[in-house]
Amino acid sequence: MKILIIEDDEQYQSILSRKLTSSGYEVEVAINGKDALIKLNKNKISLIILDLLMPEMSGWKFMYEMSRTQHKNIPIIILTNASEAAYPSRVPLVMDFLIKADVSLDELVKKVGKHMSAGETKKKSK
Amino acid sequence: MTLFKKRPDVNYILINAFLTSAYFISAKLGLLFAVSVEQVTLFWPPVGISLAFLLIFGKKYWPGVFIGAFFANVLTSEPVGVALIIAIGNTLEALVGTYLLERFNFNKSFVSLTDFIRFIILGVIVSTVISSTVGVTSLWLVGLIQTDDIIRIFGIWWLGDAIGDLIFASLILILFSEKKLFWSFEKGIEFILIIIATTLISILVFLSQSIIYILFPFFVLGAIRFKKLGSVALALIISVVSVWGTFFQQSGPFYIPGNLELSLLHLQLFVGIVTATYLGLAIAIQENAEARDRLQDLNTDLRKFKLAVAYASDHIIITDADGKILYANRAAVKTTGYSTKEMLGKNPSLWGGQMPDKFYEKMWNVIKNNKKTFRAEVINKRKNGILYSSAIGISPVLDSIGNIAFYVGIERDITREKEIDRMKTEFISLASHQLRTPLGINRWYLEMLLYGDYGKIPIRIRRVVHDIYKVNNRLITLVNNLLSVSRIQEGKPLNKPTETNVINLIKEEISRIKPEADKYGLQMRLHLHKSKVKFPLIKIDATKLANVLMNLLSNAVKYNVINGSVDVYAGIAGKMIKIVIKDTGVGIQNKDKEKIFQKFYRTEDATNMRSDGSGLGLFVSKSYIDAWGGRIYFKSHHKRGTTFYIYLPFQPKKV
Repeated sequence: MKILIIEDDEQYQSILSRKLTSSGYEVEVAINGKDALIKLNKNKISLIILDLLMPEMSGWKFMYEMSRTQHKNIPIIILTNASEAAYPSRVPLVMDFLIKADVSLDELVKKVGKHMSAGETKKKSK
Repeated sequence: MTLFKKRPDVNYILINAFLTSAYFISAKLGLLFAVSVEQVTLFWPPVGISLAFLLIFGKKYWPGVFIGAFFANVLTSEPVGVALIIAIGNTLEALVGTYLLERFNFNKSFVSLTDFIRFIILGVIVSTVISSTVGVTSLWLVGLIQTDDIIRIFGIWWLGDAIGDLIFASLILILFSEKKLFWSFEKGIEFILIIIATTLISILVFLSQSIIYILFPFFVLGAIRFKKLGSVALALIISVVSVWGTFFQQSGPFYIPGNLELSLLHLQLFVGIVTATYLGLAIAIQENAEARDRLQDLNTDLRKFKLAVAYASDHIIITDADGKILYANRAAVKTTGYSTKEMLGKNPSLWGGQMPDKFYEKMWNVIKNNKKTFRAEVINKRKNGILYSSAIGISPVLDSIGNIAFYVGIERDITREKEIDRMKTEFISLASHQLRTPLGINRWYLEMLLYGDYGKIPIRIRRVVHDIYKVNNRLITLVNNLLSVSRIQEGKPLNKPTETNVINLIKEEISRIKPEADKYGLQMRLHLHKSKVKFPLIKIDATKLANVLMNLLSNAVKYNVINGSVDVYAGIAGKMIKIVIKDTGVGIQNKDKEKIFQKFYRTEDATNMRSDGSGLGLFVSKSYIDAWGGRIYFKSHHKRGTTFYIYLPFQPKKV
């Protein structure tokens, strides 16, 4: 079960990778939306953790582009510090919307577990 | 008229006495001109005096008329009984005349032609019939006049009264109504000259056989230059001179040798008709002049308003009931880019049409069907194609029946304001992001340290790390609260209402705060009020509600005593969800109670207990609750505890 972390800040990248790996997941990191689209094609991703404010391609743009690819059904957890985020609530695959500074690592890991298994269950039931 | 304010009865007597003497003297004067019958004359001022007097001062002065008439008649050779009856007749005539004129809303100042016509018909023609009928009948009954003469005598009597009313009553009434003569010195001289000239010319006319028509230009001049006053004054002069000339000098254009009575008859008819004509003319002219003055005033006012609207800084347009533009002010030309010519006759959609159809449907519904003002922020398009933001207000203007006659549309260009708003929002957004990033990173590093992700740490170090973690969290909370506050202040708190199960939310927040509560040995209990009505899901911003709940729960925990308790009750009260949070903490002192919801306010007790409070929690909570249409208040006893009460409507207002 591979998680794709789309995050431009190096320190956040580092912390998230470390924590998720030690929780038993495989992790792939992309530095922005464009990079993410490439990585999606090269890996089998079960869950995406997505930052919103990124250079080159923002999280919003990424979601739009992704929805037009074969990967459109991969569940997404939005993880950002941007509070204005009027995230497209109509994107069905956004499972959660978390503010980095407000959520503890523990909670985050729990949410990952929750949405991951839900996704797996979905796949299995297909 | 009050000469003696304190003795109204004396006053009454005096005024009656005055009227009596005036009546008597003028009566005696008039009777000098009696020709065939001693008691009947064509020249009869008293009737005008009495009518005018009663009209001006009131019908209560009829005794003055009665006594004067009685004495005037009793001193002619007629039986006392006849004098009495004639006096009654004359008094009655004055009373009836007054009554009729008052009943038909006669304006004593002869303001309009209608007043004049009323005066002629009711005063001059109708009321005078009374006295002549009574008089002629009684004189005939005692044999002072013969049956053959009845009609002729009646005619004379009636005509004399009629002319007397026409000239003397109107003169007195008009004199009385001209409260002040706003005449310049020149105008005064002019008046005197006309009077003198008219007098001289009329004397000339009546001494010789000159044509009577020479007098007409003077009448016209008097009527035009001095209006009502002029025409009655000249009428009086000509009346006096003509009677003097015809009766005493036995000359003039009306003199018929051998038939004085017929001469006077013709004369009075002439005077009557001429006076009536020119007085009527004067009134018509004055009415006209006054109407024109009023129109002038209205015009000036209108011009003022027109200028005010034309140069107003807001775009103002006026359309007819179908929306066709009738008027557009300068500011409208400036905002839309279209000239007045280009706008007239067209619809405001000329620069509109950028909003969704539903918007315009709503607009028409409000202004046309509901007939109310429609206010909104809209995007319009100038002539050069550039879009701009506008705050608009469209109001229907109704006519006297309640139908729409016009629409008034006012626009204010708010493009700049919107731009500034956008920049402010961007700034806040950016600032929050920038501030939160390092804080978030610190938080997670510290968490990993504490969780042992970097290996076991000695207890002493662990404690320090934990303290740093708490400080960091304080900063995060502060940033969050500052963000909320600045958005509330702008009036634009982000609102994402979702169908929320409030009970679940309460449970979640309780479990979040539980670790902290456990540290102080606090009991946390949730009591769900059993009610017939099920707890509804309410459409509310869950994040904000969670924030509010956390603020209150956190306060209940933070300012509590060791081994104390926090009780949460949730129930339904009417159309509201009721939440009660009760703690056994330090309580709020009376001196703090008023200020507890203020921004940044922290009580002394709170500050002494803990340094980590921003003073924003209750401010933010109250702002949200108020905006939702709910209520928050508290009861507290110092050192015993505080209970907060929150009411949330089933249908919170959309912020």
